[in-house]
Amino acid sequence: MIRIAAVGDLHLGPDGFDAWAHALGPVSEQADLLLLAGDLTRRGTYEEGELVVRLLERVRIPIFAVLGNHDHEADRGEELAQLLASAGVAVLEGTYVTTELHGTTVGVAGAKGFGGGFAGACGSEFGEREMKAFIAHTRDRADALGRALAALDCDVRIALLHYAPVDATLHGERREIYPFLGSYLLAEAIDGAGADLVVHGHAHAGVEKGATPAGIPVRNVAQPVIRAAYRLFCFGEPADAREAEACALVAPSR
Amino acid sequence: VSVARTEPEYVRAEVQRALAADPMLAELGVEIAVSETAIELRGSVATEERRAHALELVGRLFPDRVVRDALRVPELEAPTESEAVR
Repeated sequence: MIRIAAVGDLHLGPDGFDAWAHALGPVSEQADLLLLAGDLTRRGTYEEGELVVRLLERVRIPIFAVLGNHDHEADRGEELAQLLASAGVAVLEGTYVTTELHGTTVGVAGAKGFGGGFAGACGSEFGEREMKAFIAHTRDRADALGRALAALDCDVRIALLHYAPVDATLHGERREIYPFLGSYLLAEAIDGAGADLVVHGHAHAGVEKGATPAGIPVRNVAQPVIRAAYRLFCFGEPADAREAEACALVAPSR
Repeated sequence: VSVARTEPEYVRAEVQRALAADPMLAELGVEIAVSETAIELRGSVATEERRAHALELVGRLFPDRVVRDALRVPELEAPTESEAVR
């Protein structure tokens, strides 16, 4: 059995550091892998990036991350990704990483994603070049995610995003802003390639559980939604009573 | 006083811009309700410091309206349960 922790939307600044350091304390005992679903910082400054590095230095399990829109606000996304990578965090953008945990191979394909909306109420590559560029960016990132997922030959395959791939996890958000919260193109790419779990953030007022049209579980792990430092997901059967206790099982659900 | 400073729709937009632009907040997810006499902030912010700062900022921008606090700071503790995915 493997246990995966996931959270997004830390929006870390100096004011939140101590609370996060405390809350993340048990993660290395509770999980084998930590996924970060973007918006690690408030504005994506180098100083905030250093703060994230300081926070994650205490975590002793592998960390895979994507950036979010807040991490791009200072237009230093690449620098931030390099800073995190230098601290051992695998920052994914249309790429994947694999690892072996207790004999189980786990592959995570990640991308920030982008907006555009959901089938029936979405933008299209039509009209002004700015509109075409908006949707083309989403399509490009979705395609990259799909290729990364398809390349994974692992026991467990996970798609890690910041933006939402389905509208099911957006309930609670105002419908008018759905096109800024995600895109069906992301779900389409995931369903095309296949995955066991999709994790995203970004939708602070949404709900936790949804599924893609093909039935792949989607979990919105934005911190304001989960109201915890992270969510824990278990894969595989517990090997013994101790593992079963470590993974106090909640019935599988969508 | 310009229309932009008094019409609830424009006040709402101005508050939204201010919360996003403020470096301590960079906050896009706060819901804003505006009446003729009051501004209410709803939704979540990450810390108590940001809650206080947001309320103070909006009060400073629109001193003629009462600022109501319906914000929450989500709990931040390690989880006590997990979900079996498969």
